[in-house]
Amino acid sequence: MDGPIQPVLSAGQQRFLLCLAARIVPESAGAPAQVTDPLLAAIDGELRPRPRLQQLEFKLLLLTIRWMTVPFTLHRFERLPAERQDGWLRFLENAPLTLLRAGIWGLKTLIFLGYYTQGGVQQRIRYLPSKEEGNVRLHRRQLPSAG
Amino acid sequence: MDAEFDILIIGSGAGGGTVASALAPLCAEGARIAVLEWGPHFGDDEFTGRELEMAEKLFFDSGAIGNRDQTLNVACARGYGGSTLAYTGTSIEIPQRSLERWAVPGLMLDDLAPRMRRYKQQNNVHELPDEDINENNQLFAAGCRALGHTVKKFPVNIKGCKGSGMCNMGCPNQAKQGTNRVQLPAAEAHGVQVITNCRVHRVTPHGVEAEVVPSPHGRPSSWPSGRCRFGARIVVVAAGAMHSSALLAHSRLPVDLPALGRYFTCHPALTLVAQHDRPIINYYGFPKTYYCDDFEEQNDFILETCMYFPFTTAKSLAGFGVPHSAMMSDFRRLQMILVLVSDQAEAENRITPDSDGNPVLHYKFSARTLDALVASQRIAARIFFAGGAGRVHAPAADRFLIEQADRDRVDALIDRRHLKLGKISIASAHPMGGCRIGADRTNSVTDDRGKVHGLDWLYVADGSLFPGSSGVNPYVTIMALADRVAESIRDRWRSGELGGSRAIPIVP
Repeated sequence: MDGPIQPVLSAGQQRFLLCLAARIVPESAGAPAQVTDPLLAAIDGELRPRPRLQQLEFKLLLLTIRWMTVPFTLHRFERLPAERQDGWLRFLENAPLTLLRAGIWGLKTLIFLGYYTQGGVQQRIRYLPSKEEGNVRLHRRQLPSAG
Repeated sequence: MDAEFDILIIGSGAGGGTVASALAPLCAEGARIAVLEWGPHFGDDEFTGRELEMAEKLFFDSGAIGNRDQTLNVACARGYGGSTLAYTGTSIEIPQRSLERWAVPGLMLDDLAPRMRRYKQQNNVHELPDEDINENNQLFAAGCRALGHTVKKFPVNIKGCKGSGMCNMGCPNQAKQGTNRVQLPAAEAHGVQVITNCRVHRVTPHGVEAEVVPSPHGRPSSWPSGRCRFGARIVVVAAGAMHSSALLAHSRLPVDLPALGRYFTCHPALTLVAQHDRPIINYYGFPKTYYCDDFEEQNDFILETCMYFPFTTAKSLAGFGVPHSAMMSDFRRLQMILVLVSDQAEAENRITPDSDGNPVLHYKFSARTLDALVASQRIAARIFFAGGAGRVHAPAADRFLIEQADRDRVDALIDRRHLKLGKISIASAHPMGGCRIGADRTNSVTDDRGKVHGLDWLYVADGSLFPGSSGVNPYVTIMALADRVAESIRDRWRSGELGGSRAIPIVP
């Protein structure tokens, strides 16, 4: 019998990803498992069907971000104060190398995917679409309100 | 051979669906016609409106086939109806100026125009009444008019729209009149067979090698699972610009086609987001009502209204952290404009196949395209401010947000220096070219009727035919070109060249 499916990222990689998520989407910092679990699951779901090489590239990006700060600060990324972590991410986002910029864009995209596709988050930001009553609410000039 | 047909059509989108419906009357004359569609035939209840779920169900690579540099993402849908499942349904006829740029002998607007109008009529294309236009669209129109720009209503192919705003995730109300609602059901009623979950691996002389793989979505295919080979007198490839080009290149056709896969264009686009100081009605109602094409001819870009979903919006914003979250914190306050650039057809922008036949996109942005992306952002920012927006996010700005107080400095703040490829989300939903029409075999793949040069059994009938970008949404133009392809095949059938008419005897 097949065992449970192993996530693409290791437990350590997932913890580091949540550390990055806390900078990309600050509301995710310290969020309960009901937010972070689906965030990680969505990212895993997105990585899983990708070729092994792409998965490896993403893991390499995480590793690079985690350790690249050491020669300059003597600390791994996750041990830096939040402001300095932001500074490093901004540097990478604007790096001279297109590959690095694209890597950070990919990282951000995965985190946004894991966060902003959650129903609870969409409710909080007042994205409350209606399949059948869109025009009805438009005609009534009815603004969406928090559920 | 598992089955023999007279005509095989690969793909069921704007091109394939059109060919199927145009040739369907031949079934009564004995023609055996089949459409092979890679994706499933979705049930109406499967369009849930959930962003992540629908991206994975509807699109190749969840809507983001990247180029080699990872600086561009192209959205291609699959399923019964192809990309007509997921586009917004804007139906603009190709303008004369685009055909003049294409300069294809025999391709004239007075031939295409009646075809476009016929399909627009079939698809219930019309402009929305003013009462169905939400504030996201109204503010764009107001901003344009305040600045003296022309604003036009999109003709759209909807019937019974309930204003869900979920068009790009598949209409949950069966309102969007794509080929899945109009051309394919009509074709099937005439006797065309549609085989879904069927990926064509190679095109061979007078046939295809394919495979039916069950999908967790949609109805089961009408064909058993597994590898299969179909024979046909005529094969029509209409798998979309990216997949048609890759398929034909992977098939090692017995002719030399130096232009195959080349001259790819895609209307690279950016989403700009503005924030108002008050909530507006933005995602209730049809999302895309207005456009401004004042700048298309001289400056290579158009501006359109749009309204996307939270994840799609989030990834369209450069930056992260507190300012990004603040922008996203109340979705009701957001207004969006899509800027699209008419990129130039260049031989080096091309599609090649990987070892499995999947498309690999080689695309580099020209200086002209980058200049247009910057210029369009400046215009969009001014339109936002003229419509009353409090602040604007432009991906090529030197800061995350430009405030109203700085509206007069837009030209200085939005600059090419800040447009960093890879950092921002340049997307495309209009892949074109790769099998372009033309008279010269050295720089085109098909003649003006979509017949591949040197092969009398192989046609192409989708956006890959475009010699260059159309400058407008390509949907209706694809249908018109596909109609020309079908007409040519129909004429050959009725002349007896393809085995001729075989009237089915009527048994009393």
